[in-house]
Amino acid sequence: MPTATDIDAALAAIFADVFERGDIAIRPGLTAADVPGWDSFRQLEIVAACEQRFGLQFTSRELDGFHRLGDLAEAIRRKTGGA
Amino acid sequence: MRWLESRRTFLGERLVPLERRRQLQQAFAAHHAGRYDEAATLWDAVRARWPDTPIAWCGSAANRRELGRLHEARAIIADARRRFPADLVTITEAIRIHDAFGDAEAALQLSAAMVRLDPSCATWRLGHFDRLLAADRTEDAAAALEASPRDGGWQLRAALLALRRGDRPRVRALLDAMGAGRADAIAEAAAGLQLRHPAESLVLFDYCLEVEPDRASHLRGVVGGHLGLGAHDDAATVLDRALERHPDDPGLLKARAKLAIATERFADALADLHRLLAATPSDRELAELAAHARLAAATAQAERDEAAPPQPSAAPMVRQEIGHVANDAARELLLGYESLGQDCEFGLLQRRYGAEPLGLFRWNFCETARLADALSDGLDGVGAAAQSVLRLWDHQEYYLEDLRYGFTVHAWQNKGTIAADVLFPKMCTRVALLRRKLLEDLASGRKILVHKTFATGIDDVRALARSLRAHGPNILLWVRSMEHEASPEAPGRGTVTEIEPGLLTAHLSSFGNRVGAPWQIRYDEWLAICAAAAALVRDAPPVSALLGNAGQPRLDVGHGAPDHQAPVVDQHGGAVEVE
Repeated sequence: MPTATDIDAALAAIFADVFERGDIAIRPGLTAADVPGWDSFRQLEIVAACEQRFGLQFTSRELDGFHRLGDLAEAIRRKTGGA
Repeated sequence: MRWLESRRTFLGERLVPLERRRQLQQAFAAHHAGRYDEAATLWDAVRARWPDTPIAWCGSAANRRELGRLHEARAIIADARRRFPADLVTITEAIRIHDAFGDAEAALQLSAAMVRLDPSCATWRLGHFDRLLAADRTEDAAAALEASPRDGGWQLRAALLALRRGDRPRVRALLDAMGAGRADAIAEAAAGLQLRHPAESLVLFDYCLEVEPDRASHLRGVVGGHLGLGAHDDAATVLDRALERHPDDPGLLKARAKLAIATERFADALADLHRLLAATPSDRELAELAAHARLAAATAQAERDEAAPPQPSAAPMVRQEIGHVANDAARELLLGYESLGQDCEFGLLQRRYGAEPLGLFRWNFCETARLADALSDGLDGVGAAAQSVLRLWDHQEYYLEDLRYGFTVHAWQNKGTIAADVLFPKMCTRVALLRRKLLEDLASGRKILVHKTFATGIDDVRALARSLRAHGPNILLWVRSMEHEASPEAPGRGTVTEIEPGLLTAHLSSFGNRVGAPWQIRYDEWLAICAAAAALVRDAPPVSALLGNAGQPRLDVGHGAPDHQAPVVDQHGGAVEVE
């Protein structure tokens, strides 16, 4: 099961891939307002990449509840039984 | 006892074929009536009980093909081919499945196999010739024709071969020699050539017109040939002449819509298409043309918006569309809704108020009737690569099209920014994820579904509401434009009316997307409607909490048509006046 560090590292890689830039500081409080171009399409790419990377499926309520990056990381941790 | 046993055996031998025939007839009847889901069960039952019957396998495969479940069809027919390698019906169905996959080479190999199995059959030989010619293997086609018996369509094939070789005098001589009644067969061949060889198609349709000068189908063919060649002026000339003779011919009106799309006159195209769709709402080509016309119009619109310099005094709604408004109550309200199309207007409304939910139909175009069908089918196959195709609109923006239901989903990426083979699987993954999410939302009924329509009859909307209720306790808000419906019973903008349990309707004064003009979304009218609908079904906050910076709006919420005027919501910021 992935650790919090593993999850953060994976999210950093996913963000770098989705936004094509490597300077986004991954932190729990990060929101769409902080990253130019983070709209619903990018959000979709991010969650699809997370599902693929961690082999899980988010529920609709979870998808609607990802307001901050921390929400997404927490859902991954919870679903993978990570520390 | 031995007598009794032999009697039973005798009856069994007689009854088994009868029972098999009865079940086969039931399966065929369901299939031919278009009841494919029912037919699937019947075909599978026959196949399971009598696995040595080739037609049962072919029926199952054809059924899956009709249902768009092509991979299943291919698996079934592959099994059948192993069991019955020399069965011609099985091979024929296998060819159709290869055609459905676009695998021309595999289909060609099988048609060659059919010729080897029955070399004396002219039908197989000429069919093989047709495939070779379609594959541009002209010399192989010539050899196949040479080996064919000279009857039943040989002369027409010889003319097609001469046409491919550019030997016009021989074409004419062969066609002339076909005798009376030849125009139908020639026109059929011409229609088959129209997509890939429009110049050849045009030669044949021109010939047909010489034989039958006024026939509408030939005139349609000539117009189609010119359109295929990009000769828009020629197409327009013939079309004008044709419509003088056949002013109400649906095929000519469809051709006029195609010409209008090709020349970027989208409003003209949509006017024809809406009229035709009203008469034949189940015509898939019309629905697809309308979808393409709207998507093209919207794309052209977006380009114009982007290119146009800001004109705050002249176009306040453009500024509103581009801007964002901080209004937490509106944002929360709009997050309680899920867009079911028909287009992106509701998605833009949500974006304006900072609501960015993930939704399958938020950036999508869909026709009401086909959406209802798709939902009734559980969105079967939506997002599957086999059922999807990535297309370029106007050589610029990519979009994903669902081949079964005709949905078109914006990719928001232009040619040159990403390779199509990279984007396609990404789009399929996105759409599949959104499909899963929507089905989950529908099962819970936790969101109000909103669907705007341009010119859709209530029957289609009722069917949509029914298909939604089959998934869960869902509420559909059907939003119409008073511009598109001059109906005397239209209750007025802003009024939410319950048509039946689970189906609400409301009118905007106009929709936001206008061909040839900037987006003019009636944000406040939308908000008022959404708030009213939420209040009606969810005990949501009053509308004043959303709009309220300039007085108390009077919003009519109720069942049936009210007997008083609805409010007018000022487009510039929420002030309200009553007409």
